[in-house]
Amino acid sequence: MQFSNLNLDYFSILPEIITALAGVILMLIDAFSKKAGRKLSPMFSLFALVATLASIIALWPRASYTASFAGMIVNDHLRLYFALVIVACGIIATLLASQFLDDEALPPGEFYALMMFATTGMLMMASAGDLVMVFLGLETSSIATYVMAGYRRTDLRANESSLKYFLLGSFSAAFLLYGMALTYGATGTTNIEGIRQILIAGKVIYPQMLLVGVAMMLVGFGFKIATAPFHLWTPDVYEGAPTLVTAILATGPKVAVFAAFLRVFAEGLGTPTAPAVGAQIYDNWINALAVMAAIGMTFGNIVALAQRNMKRMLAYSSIAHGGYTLIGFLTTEYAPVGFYMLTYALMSLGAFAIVQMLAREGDAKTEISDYAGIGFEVPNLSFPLAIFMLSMAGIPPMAGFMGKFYVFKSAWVSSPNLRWLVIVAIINSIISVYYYLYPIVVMFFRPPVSDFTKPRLSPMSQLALAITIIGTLYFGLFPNGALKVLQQKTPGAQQVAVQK
Amino acid sequence: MLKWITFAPLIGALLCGFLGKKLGEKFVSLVACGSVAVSMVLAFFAFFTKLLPLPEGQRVVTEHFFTWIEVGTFRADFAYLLDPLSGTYILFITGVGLLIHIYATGYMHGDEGFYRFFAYLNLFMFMMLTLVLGDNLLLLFVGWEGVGLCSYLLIGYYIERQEAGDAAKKAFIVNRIGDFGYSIGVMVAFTTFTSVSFVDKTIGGKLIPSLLTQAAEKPVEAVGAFGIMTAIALLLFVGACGKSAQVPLFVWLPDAMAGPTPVSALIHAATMVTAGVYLTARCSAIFTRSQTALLIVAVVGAFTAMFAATIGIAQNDIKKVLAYSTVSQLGYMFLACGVGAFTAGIFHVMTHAFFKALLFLGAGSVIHGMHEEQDIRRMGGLKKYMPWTFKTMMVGWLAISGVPLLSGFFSKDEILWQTWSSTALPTGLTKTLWFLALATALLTAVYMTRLMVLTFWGKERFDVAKDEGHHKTEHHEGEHHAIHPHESPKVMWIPLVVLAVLSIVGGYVGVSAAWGGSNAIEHFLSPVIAKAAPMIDTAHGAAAATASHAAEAAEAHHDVTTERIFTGISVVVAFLGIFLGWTMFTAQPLRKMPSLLENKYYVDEIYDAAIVNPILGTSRNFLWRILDVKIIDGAINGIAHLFGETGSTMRFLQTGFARSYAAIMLVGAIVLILYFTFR
Amino acid sequence: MFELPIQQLIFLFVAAVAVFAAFNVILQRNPIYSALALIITMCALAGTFLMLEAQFVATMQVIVYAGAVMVLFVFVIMLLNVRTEEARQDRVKYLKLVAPLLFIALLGEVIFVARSVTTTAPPLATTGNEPAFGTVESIGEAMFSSYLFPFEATSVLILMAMVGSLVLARRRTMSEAETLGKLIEESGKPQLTPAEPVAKLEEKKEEIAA
Repeated sequence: MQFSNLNLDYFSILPEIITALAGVILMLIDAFSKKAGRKLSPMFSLFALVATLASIIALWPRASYTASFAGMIVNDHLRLYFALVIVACGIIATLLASQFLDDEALPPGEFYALMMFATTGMLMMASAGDLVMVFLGLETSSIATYVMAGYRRTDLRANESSLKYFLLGSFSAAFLLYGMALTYGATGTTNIEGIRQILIAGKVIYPQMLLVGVAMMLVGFGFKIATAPFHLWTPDVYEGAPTLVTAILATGPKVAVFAAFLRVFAEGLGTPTAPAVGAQIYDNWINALAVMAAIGMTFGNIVALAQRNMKRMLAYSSIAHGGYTLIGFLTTEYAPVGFYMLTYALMSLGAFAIVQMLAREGDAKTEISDYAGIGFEVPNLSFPLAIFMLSMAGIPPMAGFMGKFYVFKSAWVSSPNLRWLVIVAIINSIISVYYYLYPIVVMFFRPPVSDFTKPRLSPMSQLALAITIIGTLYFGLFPNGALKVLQQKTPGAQQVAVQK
Repeated sequence: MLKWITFAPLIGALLCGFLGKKLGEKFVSLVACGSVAVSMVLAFFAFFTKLLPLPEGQRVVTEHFFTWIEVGTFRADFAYLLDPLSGTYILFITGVGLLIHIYATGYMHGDEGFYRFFAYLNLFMFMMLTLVLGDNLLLLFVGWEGVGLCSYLLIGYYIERQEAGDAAKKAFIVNRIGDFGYSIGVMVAFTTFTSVSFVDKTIGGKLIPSLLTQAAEKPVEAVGAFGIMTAIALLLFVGACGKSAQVPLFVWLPDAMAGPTPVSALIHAATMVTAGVYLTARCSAIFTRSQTALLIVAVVGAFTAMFAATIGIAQNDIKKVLAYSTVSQLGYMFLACGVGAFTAGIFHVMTHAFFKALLFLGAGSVIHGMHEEQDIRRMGGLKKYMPWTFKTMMVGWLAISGVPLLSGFFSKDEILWQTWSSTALPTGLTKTLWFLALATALLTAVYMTRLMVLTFWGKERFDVAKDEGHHKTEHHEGEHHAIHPHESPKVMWIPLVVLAVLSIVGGYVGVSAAWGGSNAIEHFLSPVIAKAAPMIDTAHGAAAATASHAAEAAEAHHDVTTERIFTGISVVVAFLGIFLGWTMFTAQPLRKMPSLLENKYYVDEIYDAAIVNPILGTSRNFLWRILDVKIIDGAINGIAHLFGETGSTMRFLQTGFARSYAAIMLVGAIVLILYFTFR
Repeated sequence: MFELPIQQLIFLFVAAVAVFAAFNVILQRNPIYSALALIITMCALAGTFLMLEAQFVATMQVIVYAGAVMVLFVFVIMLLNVRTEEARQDRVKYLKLVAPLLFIALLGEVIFVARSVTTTAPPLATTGNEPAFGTVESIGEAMFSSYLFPFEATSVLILMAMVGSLVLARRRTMSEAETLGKLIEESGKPQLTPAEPVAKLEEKKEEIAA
């Protein structure tokens, strides 16, 4: 073991360091000044996240395939882009959190700390160059979100949601871990680039074992991105968790999991021309994911039609969006996935934020019928919600349209084998209009309910809402900037030698 | 300049939407009409000073606003294209649009949502102009969806009415079915031409010719040959069918009449619904490369024209009659496109915009005067109460019926003649289509006459109960009426007069050569319209297929006598229709109509039963209730019963569910592993 | 079949014990028995580690898991006085039928794959100057060189898991906790299980309610 090979580049893990440190400091703030913590914690979180954002941008010029920490951390454009989206989600969620915690009279300290740790985990997923890191990142973010789902401790629904999420999450994590273990057994390495090299060289020790290992990893990732048939937890958990936590669950971790998923499958196992088992594995996972995507979005969309609860409807809709993203995933390019995740995160955060603002204490009002006639009572909430719904339905010029268009176009052009999937997806997006319009119809075309009172909006929540709306419109009208960034490919795909 | 044509109404929309509620009706009227007026002035200015002075054949004005999306080989801009086709469209869109805005200030007076209405209406103008001026298929799609959205908002404008919301939703969803075709069409077009632009563009440093230029160079696909051009054309046509309410996607348009009448006039008669025709004409280079596509367009158009006209005869709601009439007239336009006479189609779009907007606004004036009564069975004798409305609507009636020297006559006659003489389709078919179109012309005259007779002539039937209207006649002549019809205010009937004038003179830009005209509009439009390849390879036809000047030469060879005879036939048919309608409905205004027609062939019911209910049922009863809840709940209970026990004591404990989810995940995992290892 | 080398015999024995004990963990209704069965599983696993020449991991398994962690488990179970889980009606009846089938299917698949794995592992690529595999030295080196970052990241994970479990376990509201703290102070002696103050708190609550 040569220590000089390790490449201990601390600058490359600066984002993770900042968020982890911030998490610890937040707990100290809470411990030493309970009173001031309520005001100080969100401010400090924001500060830390902005610093993280800055560090990611500072890392941009250093993007390369040279992995640091013995191949554990990869600092390429994929990592940096996804890290950017993850931190952006974190910032928006933090802005929304203070009002949530105030309204629900919940202790603020741990919440921000947990959010920081979750962000650390997500960032690790994006930067992971090794299966070990993928798993660690995944668990860090998952455990934090399990706890956040149950943060409203006196609420039975939230407890149930948290427990269910925890049980099923652990179940899927077991699959993921077992899959990783088998993959290690079959290839002799956990380094993703190393696995790829072994596949290309045709030096897999136990091909059968690798096949099972990859299948099991697919189960684990499939659970986290909530695609059929591993999506069943989503509606229950999303509905039960406090709406703000649902917003976090539906965005940040999903973005991060897609990053890791891309790293492991599109990069590590994206070997269509490898000899023997390498090509077979590629074919297998492409076919399996195509079917999973088709079932996932069809199931999600059709079941969403019958929903009368806003959160449940958005949960099924997120299953459908996961399906659309998978279409981009199947091109094995990161750009379509990255762009779709960006647009999806913006509109989901926005939509959930409004649901939270309208829901009242304890998520009392989340039925769509509760929104009757509020259209012109609270235009500052109803119009944004309408924009998010239309964006999710894929109406131009909103970002959702651009995301869908870019994904579908990329898939259509990249391979004729994916065209059937694009057609299925377009039919699906037509079906989806039906339920996305439903809240709009209820808000604007129904007589108002009598007991509606205008919700209070803190300046921070308003800022968060503004960011999501402007983002939703901006990336619909001017997607070029983001797409240019996504076109950047890290040059020189030579990875450091596999350790051992 | 071009961008300000589109953006003026957008600014108006924002001002009305955000400030309108505070600043009141006067301000909103001024801003809304003013912004459209600015747009109209700019449109006329651009058209007459920028476009017309250019030499014939090179009349293209482009304006780059910003690069919207450029990634890899794909490029779509926010850029505008003004050529004879879009030029014609923006003139009548802004012109008719302005008149309808002015009218609407009177019609919507006193409505509490006044500002909202005009915000939507201005937004619509923005979207419609973007649609028409967009220089690529994707920007066109922005306008396309945008007008759909505004239409949705405006159909559902009367929030207190349940059916308005439902109609709005229906319109949007049916349109989305059309968008399905459009979206895939754009994808296929891009993979075929690597361009979605109507003008040549530099993409990635390479000059890529416009998709129209490239399409024009492709070989013609004969009837039955299903090549790539047929695919693109048909996919785009699916989109056009949705927007322009053709069979089988026409069902939304009649329901859309739930919106305020100016909306029906502007969106659902004059402008938005003709977007499909615009798309077809814009992509004529693609359509003419596929004879199959042309054939389908023509047949769908002719069938829709006939189908809707028969329904129109039996409707009793004044707006529904006009709605079906619009569907029918749109069918004419597609028929024209299908037989290769795109210019005739556009000509009819224009004249139709004038007279149908006139008729709708007239109907609005009648409804206004009758205090929101829409059933023509409860009208009658209104001509003495509403002289201006009556006079102007009479012009519209005669124009749409095809009475000579009015605008509708010229355009409809052109379509009929082009259908008969078309070489783009098999001869037998063109004759059949011509016959269908002629029969439709007869029906049109009949139902429009019925509408006029029931509304303006005869006895006053204001008190007849709705449900008994068709058999109970008026007994209480001298009794005091509950309703006092009155003429609408000036601000409403002046636009009617202007539109009436346009309905009279609008046709003279397209008088055919056989009648001593020069058919100016056809000459003007023909450089941007591709010529259809002839079906039979005659000497004239082959020449026509290759060069446009040869086509003009072929036109000169038209048998002038035959054309005049055919014009004669149309005139006879028009008068016959009016005569029939007049005698039938003055004698017995409330005669019972066939219930099949009155119920619109039960199309809505059939769609509900065949498509909507199964999907919703599957969602609600199968996928959700069964797969999501019942597979767990029901299966448990079912099996529990099987074992003679009930297991409901722990209903609140949902861990049972989590276990079931885990089981399903496990099944998924096992299947996945099986697939991976045994494939 | 009868010529099994001694290692394989030992392995089969240890593995059988591990599986049997693991089944026991989930089948026992009394939590103490479950915990004890878990200790046996841990020890058996330590045996398999030993057979794989992973001495250090085997030792750690016994000391940390079977020793420290499990002792804590047993303490907690006893302190909380968790009773024997009562047999309750299971709503998800069909799962009792389906679950074994699924288990057998998954097991079948795993066995099928295991059969394809040859018993002799290919020799590990060694450079010669590395410390012997499985020793404290080699693990220590790996932990502070190639696995440095995961090692550090795990500390974040554990810290967070700790905070998380505290958040979830802290059932009382803040004001209640403050009152409880005062009551503990009043009682004069800090105690591990504030049974007395808790009882007082409940009394106070009842008073307020009454």
